[in-house]
Amino acid sequence: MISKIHNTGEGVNELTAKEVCIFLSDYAARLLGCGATCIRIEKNVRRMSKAFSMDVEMTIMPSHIHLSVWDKAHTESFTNIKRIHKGGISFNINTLLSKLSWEVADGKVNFQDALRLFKKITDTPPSNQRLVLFLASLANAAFCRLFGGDPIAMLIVFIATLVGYRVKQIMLEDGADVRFVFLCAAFFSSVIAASGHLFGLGETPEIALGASVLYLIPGIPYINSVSDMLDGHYICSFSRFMDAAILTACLSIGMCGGLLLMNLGLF
Amino acid sequence: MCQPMIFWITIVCVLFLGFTFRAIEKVHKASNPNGHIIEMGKERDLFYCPGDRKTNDQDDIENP
Repeated sequence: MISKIHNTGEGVNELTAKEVCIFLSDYAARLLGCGATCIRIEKNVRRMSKAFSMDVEMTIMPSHIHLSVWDKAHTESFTNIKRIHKGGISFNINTLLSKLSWEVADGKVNFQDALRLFKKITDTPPSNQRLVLFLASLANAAFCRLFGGDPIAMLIVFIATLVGYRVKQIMLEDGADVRFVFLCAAFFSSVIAASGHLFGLGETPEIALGASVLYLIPGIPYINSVSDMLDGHYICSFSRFMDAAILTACLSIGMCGGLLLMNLGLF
Repeated sequence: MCQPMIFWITIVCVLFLGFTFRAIEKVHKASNPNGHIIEMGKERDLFYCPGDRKTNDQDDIENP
């Protein structure tokens, strides 16, 4: 019934399948929510369950984690279904959670410490919004340069991204639908980037226009979709692909709206 | 000035005003957390004197 793990010097900790199951399902839901692939979630959870001397079976659905934990003797089990924690894609939390799983597997962290560290990781404040805004704009301007844009086109892309990204941040803060947010951000970015064409600025206004909405492309869901497909998680793969395709369609509609309003006949 | 330019300037002005208004509202909220810059006032607020009881006395018309 009870599994013994980790002699930490303070006495032997005794764990039940229920405790481990609740922790691991929370952990997996958080990892899924921050943009980890299914293979990573499975590996991390199995790694930790092994360290806790438990057997685990899990199903990863697009918005739920279904996890069953058995003790080694297969006398006790506990099953939990946990809804995904939608906290936005975060490489930082993804990395910290993976690091935690290795620390548990290496025996450096016992169950109670793992719980404490998990709470600390999940309470990590999001990155500085202003810094992200500035860096995203800078990155998009660099994209423009990669595609052959001149310095004026880069400046236009920087400003278009700055405005579009800020609109995105404000609308998401206010709880607007993410698809509508993408549409609006793409519209405003493309309208501002059209200034190159309208006012005859620079030599490469078409590159500025094309690069102005690149920051909205949902690259991570597309990559994760392929990764999940290769790993045989077809439902998750399809779900991620559809999410990304819908967002791409929304940003295309926004961009087309902007171009039509600016009377740019690029089609 | 051509029509797209007018649209462009209008959109940029709307965005600029939106950002400015939001920044002002943020500063205002920091100093007065419960207040809004623009809000629907009540008649009671106009005639309020310090010391008045904060009761709802708007039911001038009796309900049938």
